[in-house]
Amino acid sequence: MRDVSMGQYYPASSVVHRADPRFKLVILILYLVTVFFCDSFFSFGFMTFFVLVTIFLSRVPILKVLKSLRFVIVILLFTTLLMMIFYSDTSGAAPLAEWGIFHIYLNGIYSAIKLGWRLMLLVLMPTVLTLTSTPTELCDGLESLLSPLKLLHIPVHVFALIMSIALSLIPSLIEETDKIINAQRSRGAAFESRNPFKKIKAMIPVLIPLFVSSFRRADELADAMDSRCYRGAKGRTRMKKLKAKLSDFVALLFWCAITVCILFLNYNWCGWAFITALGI
Amino acid sequence: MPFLEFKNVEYSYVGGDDELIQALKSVSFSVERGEFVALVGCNGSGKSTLARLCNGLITPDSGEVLVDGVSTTSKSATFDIRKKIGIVFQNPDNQMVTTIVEDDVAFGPENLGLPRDEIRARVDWALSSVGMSEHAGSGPFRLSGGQKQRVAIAGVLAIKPELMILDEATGMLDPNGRREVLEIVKKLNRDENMAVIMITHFMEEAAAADRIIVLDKGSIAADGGKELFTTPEVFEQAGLDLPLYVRLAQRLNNIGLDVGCPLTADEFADAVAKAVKGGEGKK
Amino acid sequence: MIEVKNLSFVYSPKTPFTNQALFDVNLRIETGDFFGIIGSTGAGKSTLVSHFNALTKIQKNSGAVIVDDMDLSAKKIDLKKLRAKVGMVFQYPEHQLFADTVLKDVMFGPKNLGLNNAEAEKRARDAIELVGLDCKEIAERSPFELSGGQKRRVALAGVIAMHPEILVLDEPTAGLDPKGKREIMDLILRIKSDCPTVIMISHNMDEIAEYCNKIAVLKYGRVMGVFSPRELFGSEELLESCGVELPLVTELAVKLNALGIAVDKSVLTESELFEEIKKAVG
Repeated sequence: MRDVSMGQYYPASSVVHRADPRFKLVILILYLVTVFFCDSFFSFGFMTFFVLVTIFLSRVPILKVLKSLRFVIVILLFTTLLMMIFYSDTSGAAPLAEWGIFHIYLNGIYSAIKLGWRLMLLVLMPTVLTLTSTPTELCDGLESLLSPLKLLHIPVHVFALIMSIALSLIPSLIEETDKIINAQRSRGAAFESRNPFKKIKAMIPVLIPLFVSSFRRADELADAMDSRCYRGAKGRTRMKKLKAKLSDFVALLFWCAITVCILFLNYNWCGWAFITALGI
Repeated sequence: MPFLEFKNVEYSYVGGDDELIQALKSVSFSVERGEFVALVGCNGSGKSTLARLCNGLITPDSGEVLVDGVSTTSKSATFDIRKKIGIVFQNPDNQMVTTIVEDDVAFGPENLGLPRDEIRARVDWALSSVGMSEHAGSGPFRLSGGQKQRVAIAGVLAIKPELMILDEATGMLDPNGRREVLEIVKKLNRDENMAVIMITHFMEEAAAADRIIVLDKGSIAADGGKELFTTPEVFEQAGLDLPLYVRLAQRLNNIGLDVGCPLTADEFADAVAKAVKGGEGKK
Repeated sequence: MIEVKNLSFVYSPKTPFTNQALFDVNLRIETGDFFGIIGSTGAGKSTLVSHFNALTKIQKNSGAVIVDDMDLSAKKIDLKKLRAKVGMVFQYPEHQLFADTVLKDVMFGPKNLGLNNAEAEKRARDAIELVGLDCKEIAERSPFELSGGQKRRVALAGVIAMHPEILVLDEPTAGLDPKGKREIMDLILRIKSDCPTVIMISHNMDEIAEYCNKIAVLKYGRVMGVFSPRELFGSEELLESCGVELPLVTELAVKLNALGIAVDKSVLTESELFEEIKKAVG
């Protein structure tokens, strides 16, 4: 059985896998912002090139990446299609084709392709992140990045601990669910029914034992944590500290450079033109 | 002053039918540093309640539980008591707080607020003590039940308690897992001089301890060394079996073959061999 | 009768996590058998038995399982009929209890078989009595209020009320104290008079030696052989090659032999060993 707590992590040894999760998260945010600035086909192509380079460096097979995106791709194609047929051109250009209320314009096709491409870029990189980092790494990275919030008395530690416990309990809960479903199927329960009411009713014999066992687990876990001297964040230290490597800084600088390039491409940046373009 | 002392401890809780269940009735005993005690009793005899009373997870209705002379009812002492007494629970899956073995073992020392190097050293030491060093970086999900329970032991060990309680910690394991855990517990008791209370209903495990406490319906029915096996009524009344070799020895004694009361399987074989050969000699 | 022919099974095929659980398994379980399945954790025991009532689908070109006249590798299986025929009791079956009364919980299976309320209730009451609980006293109580041993009996009753012809038990005595273990095993023997075929997975070699008439040994997903208890536990070489540990009785018999006391090493119960020692004494 596969370990669900690993998310969709694809184990491999690569620079992308080894990178500091904090840097990966920061780069991801920088990347997402940059994609929003992309406007021309050239800038989309430019970004796509670097995404492909990242995927190549991560040693995750490209098919694997696309496979984990297969549902997104369906939605994406659908959105693109809608954009194409409902585009209303205000420039006065003649439509390329029309059926009833649907008109297809050249600009419409361009906009639709851009929209689809942009969405694709937006989902691609987070997928690469989750394929190359374990949930635990992301959790630690997030906790570290959010640690300044402690000054505002936000219990970052508690959130991180909750996430970590959830991740560690998920596999046994899923296993347990499987077992209960199998036990009830053996007693003739039909989860295969097409009738939605019957289906919901069929879930009760699964959900109740699952709740009962989850509460029992929570109780036991609380006892185990108490017994191991847990008393909240008070006086607590950590064994591991994330350490940034030179390569992490290089990667960050590199992506900063890409962002600057995109801004140059889009805004023909000289002096204040960039700011005015933002509309400030 | 004994390390752990129960003085006339009573404890009740409300059961499923809203009836008050008296789990422990006037329980008194003490455990010294370095002792290896087996606490046996059938299901519902109050064993787990007793374990939870030791480190203040629950407090007695009346009577006192003292750790190094300090009562567990004192809130300010709880943290120190838990540093001294660790508990390993039954289900290994419900004791893990992280998805990586070494991070989980570090949880206890992190709570103690130790410096980073010290935590690292303790984690490495604890993992090697239970023979799990090579799995330090893996996820508990891929480990066997026995291995997971060894990690749980390491998690308690890293706090460096003076007494480790195993609350039916072998109950969900297969025979291999049970043996792994028992070997480690014996080793910790011997090499680290750690006191151990092993709660179990496997009598072969209980036979490994120096002292056996029999709990029956919330009271201590017997408390003594392995010579307790010579009074089988105590165990039978408490709903427990004696180890197989003790039962056989009794039946052989009854038919006039004197094998005494062997305390291990090897002793049994020796005693039978002696008795048989002695009998032949007489002929 | 259950016949397993060249059965293989792979978890998560075609992924980095792929894991073959069964390799070309062949078995024949006759009506009337008390069939033991042993092997260390991860040997494939649970995966194997989950094929017996089609909880696990037979994969393409991976062999066949035939239960009486039903071929489970067929495209369409009458699941209702199969699951009425093969009762499955999982490890810690008390974890599957869900209804607000014991009676309703035990009636769940019979009702799923399409029986009317009256018939289902009659079966449920009979089953509760059969597992040694007082139906009058317990029927209307919540199953969650019962003691551990009682819960397990209720769960067993829930399967027995379906009147299976083949009962599969996965570690039926796990987690119970010695008295509880004996009670459950006695109960299973009682059930066996109505449900002729019993298949039991267990790590407890003492139970296997005492109760089973045939034992299949699994190791890394392969069947090492099917033996009678005396064949298996009487042969140290066989036990070693199969990676099976000795029941305590056998262990003592072996130790006695090493000290020159000739007792039969294939003894299976305490009483048999006692008689053997008595004989050796003369």
